[in-house]
Amino acid sequence: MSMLLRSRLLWINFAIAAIMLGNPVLRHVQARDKLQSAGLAGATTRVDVAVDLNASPEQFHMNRLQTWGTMVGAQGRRVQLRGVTPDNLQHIARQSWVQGIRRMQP
Amino acid sequence: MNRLLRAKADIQAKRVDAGPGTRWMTPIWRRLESVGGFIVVIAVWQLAQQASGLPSTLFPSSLDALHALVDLYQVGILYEYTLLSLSHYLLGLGLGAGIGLALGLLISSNRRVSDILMPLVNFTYAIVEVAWIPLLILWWGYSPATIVVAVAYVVASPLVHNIVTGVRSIPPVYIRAVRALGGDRRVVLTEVILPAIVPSLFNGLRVGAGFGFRALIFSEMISQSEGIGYLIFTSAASQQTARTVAGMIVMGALWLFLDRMYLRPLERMSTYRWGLSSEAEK
Repeated sequence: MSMLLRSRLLWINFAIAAIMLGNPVLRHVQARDKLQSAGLAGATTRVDVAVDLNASPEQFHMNRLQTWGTMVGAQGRRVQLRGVTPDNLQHIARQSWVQGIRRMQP
Repeated sequence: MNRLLRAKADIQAKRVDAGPGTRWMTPIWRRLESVGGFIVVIAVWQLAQQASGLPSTLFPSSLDALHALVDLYQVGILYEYTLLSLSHYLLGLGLGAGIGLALGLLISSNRRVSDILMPLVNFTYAIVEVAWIPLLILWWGYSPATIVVAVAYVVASPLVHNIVTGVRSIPPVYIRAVRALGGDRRVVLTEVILPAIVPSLFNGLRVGAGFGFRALIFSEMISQSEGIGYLIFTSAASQQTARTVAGMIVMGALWLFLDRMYLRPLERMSTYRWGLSSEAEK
């Protein structure tokens, strides 16, 4: 048992597992905060949102955001999406590169 | 006789202990040795970039590559692409290992099957995965399945060869002994063949896993719109060459990690356990 605990491989695997399991939990907590501060935590219908990124949007961000809503515009670091479902709101808020979400004014 | 054995043990102990000029080395120095090559290459790379006077879009420095790595991490691309590439790779590795093992055992189980399948395996061994990718795209489209199949194909080939070689190198007397004691085909497989091919299996897996990384990059370059291979390919096209280098560094680091942490220890453990290497070689 002590030999097993002294194994470097075991501890590295533990660290990897902790990162892999901890990251989704951390993202979930952050997503809840982002949605709560935007007043979108209890959304039950499709909403139009403006998503603020932590950098200028690239192809990668556009590809991802397009799968969660209909993109209607982008300005600076802000991307506007229409018809985002509550489930997809969660997806968007969970991304580490999403700084904040706001309800888009009609 | 005892004196002879003791003398032999002494010689062996000296071999383990002494390696010319290594005794003075501390463990920290030994660890530094393994990264020494990298330090030299990074220093030469940085100096060469500064001396060349070329713009960083054409010849990025090591610092540019480091900045690109940090930037990729901050915008979320590095984490997502690395996870994606790694999942494709591990799926392909698992599939290739399963197919390679099954095919290797099938070929080595029967002379007639071997005569039929071995030329085919040798034939496909020469066809690199890049040649298959256009066909794989036709069959599976621009989907992860194309990458997984390409990696599996590359992993399976050396594994089949190694397993066939491993099975053929088992002294027939072992199999005959198990049969004489009443063992059937299943007992021969589980008690003789499978344990005996473990070193060949891990050796083939390590070789295949290395080739698998190349297949991953090629197939992601051609058939994907995400992943580290895609990043390497498209960044150069958009003059973000530092990102290309960063992608290459990530691939290299991933392979080193997998090899050092899992594949090499497994291979060493198996060869040591089966007496194919001495303690001194460890």
